[in-house]
This record gives sequence, C-alpha cells and structure tokens, in this order.
Amino acid sequence: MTFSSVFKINFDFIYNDEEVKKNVYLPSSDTFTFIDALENEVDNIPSDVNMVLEMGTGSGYLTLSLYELLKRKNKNVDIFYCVDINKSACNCVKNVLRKNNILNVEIINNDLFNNIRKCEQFDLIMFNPPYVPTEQDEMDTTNIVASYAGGKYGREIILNFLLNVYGYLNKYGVIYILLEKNNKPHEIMNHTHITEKFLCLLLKKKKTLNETIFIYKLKKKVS
Amino acid sequence: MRLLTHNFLKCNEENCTGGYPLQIKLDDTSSENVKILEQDFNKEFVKNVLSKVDYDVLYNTAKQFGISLLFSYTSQHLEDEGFLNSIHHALFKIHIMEGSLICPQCHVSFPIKDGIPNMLKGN
Repeated sequence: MTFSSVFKINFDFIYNDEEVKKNVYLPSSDTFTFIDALENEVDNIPSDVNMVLEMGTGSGYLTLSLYELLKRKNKNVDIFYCVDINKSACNCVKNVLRKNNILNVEIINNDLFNNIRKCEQFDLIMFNPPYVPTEQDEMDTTNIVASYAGGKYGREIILNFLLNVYGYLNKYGVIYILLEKNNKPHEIMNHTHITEKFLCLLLKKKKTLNETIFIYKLKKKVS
Repeated sequence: MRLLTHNFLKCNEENCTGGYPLQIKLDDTSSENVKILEQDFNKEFVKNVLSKVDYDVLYNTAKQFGISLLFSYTSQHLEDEGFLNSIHHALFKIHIMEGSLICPQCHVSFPIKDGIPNMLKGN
C-alpha cells in the first residue's frame, strides 16, 4: 500500500482560539473567492518568487492558502511579509505559522505602508481590504473593525493602498486585490491614477446574496 | 524580526524626517531576545535582495550583532558564494525577538515582541 501525502496547512488554531474568534476576521466567502482566483492564477506565478506581501493578513488564511497552493505545485517563495494593523491578527498569524512549522514569514503590526521604505522589493502583493461602506466613526481603529470598515464607498483604505503601492512593487511584479460592488470598482480601475501606472485585469466576479466580489490583477505598465 | 525587515523600516511619525535607520535596542530582561534560525540559501534571491536594501545600513546593523560584512562590494562579489552566504546570514538568519526600534531623530520607540515589530503611532 502506498500513501501519497499532499502538503496541507493546519488551520485549526484560527477556529479554536477564543481570542482569534473574538478579535480577528475569520475566513469568509470573500476569502474563499480570493483563493479560487489564486488557484486559477497559480500557473502564471513563476516557480521562484522572492518576496510576497499580504496587506491586511488577518488570520493568515489567505497567505497560508497561497503557501499551500504553491508548495503543491513545487513553486518556491523565499519570504512572505504579513502586515496587519490589528495586533490580535498578527499574533494569530504567528501562532498558525508555528503550528505548521513555517519560518520564512515576517509579520509587521503596521498601518498599510506607513513606516515601510519604497524599495520595489515585492514580486507579489495581495490585499483583501476592508471594503464595507461605513461612517467615519468606524475608521481609525486597530481592532476587528479595521478588517471591514472602508469609510466612504467602502474604499478609503483601498484608495490609500492603490495610491501608494507602486513603489513597493518590482518591475514585473503583480498585485491581486479584492473589491466589492459598493466600492464602484470600475470607477477605481478606470481612474487616471491607476490607468497611467497599471494594466488591470478582472480575474473573477462572484455574486453572493449580499455582495458582488471582484478580484483584480494589476501589473506595472512598463515602457 | 529579521535584519531584512529592519532595513525596510523607517519612522513615519508626523514631522519626522531622517527617521532611518531605526536603532535596534534589545530587551536585556528577556532570556532570548535574539535567535539565530536556519534558512535555505537561495543565491538568486540574495543577489536580488542586495539590490533592494541599503547596504550601509545592513553593514552597520550586522556589526551590532557580531557579523563582519565586507564594507563594500563589487559585481565580482555577487558571484562569490562566501560573500553571498554572509549576506544571507545577516539578512535572514538573525531574528530580533524582544526589544525596540528607536527613531534617531524623534526618539519614538517601536516595541518588538515575540519577533513582531509594532510600528503603530502612539503604541
């Protein structure tokens, strides 16, 4: 009898830890839609990726799902960066990594790109952002509210990210970002600030009961 | 927190210009404030990363941890595995677990706990 063991991440910690359940955004349909899109993209990802950044890592489910996907295809990532404004999320990621014996990840408790130098250092950047339209009083938090609070049109954080990301991406790097219908994705992707710098491709559109999710891929316009 | 990350971090407090590099201060009350952990050596990755980091900052920071890198390097060194290995060691294998990052300009202190730096304002 032969057994073939497929590489599999153990996500139990996310679902069992009380602090995580209370304070961290748990994987949800938007997360799974993002992963579906990445599964379809995986053949476009080079077999050797140096540095990946996930902005707003939350529980770590998306980064670790990508890790799992790439490992199964024998693709290598040298180092992952996980950035989140929520300290509980950072701790969750740390714990899930430990339980899976994964060491090549750096975690930074940080607000978007503040405090990070622009060095065109990342090959792949992903962001499942806070996209829910909210009032101003839900902005400026560092807890679980920050995982969904998007301010006006639910896109304040999205716009901040898109207007800053260029200098962090290397020449042939790729951005994967999730948007929701309320963010007016077509308006964002057709704005000159985006079109002058990036080529945009809609990878996936998924309608659920309450939301329509759009997964976009952006590449730098290279002359 | 690896020295690679330290190389990318700066102070972003309002009105602070010149908040780079941040000074690393270890927590002396902690029994394991620094760890050395193995990491697979990828020659191409080291070469690529070298072009992204501030080498002077890396040189000075590595010195703080007892690593003596070459003061400067040429394109010939990029094919020298000994040199690349020393860079690999400095950037990826040294992990600051407990301490703080201090802005040399405005003196704000960003704590590092269990390897995770907290760069939030007014933390």
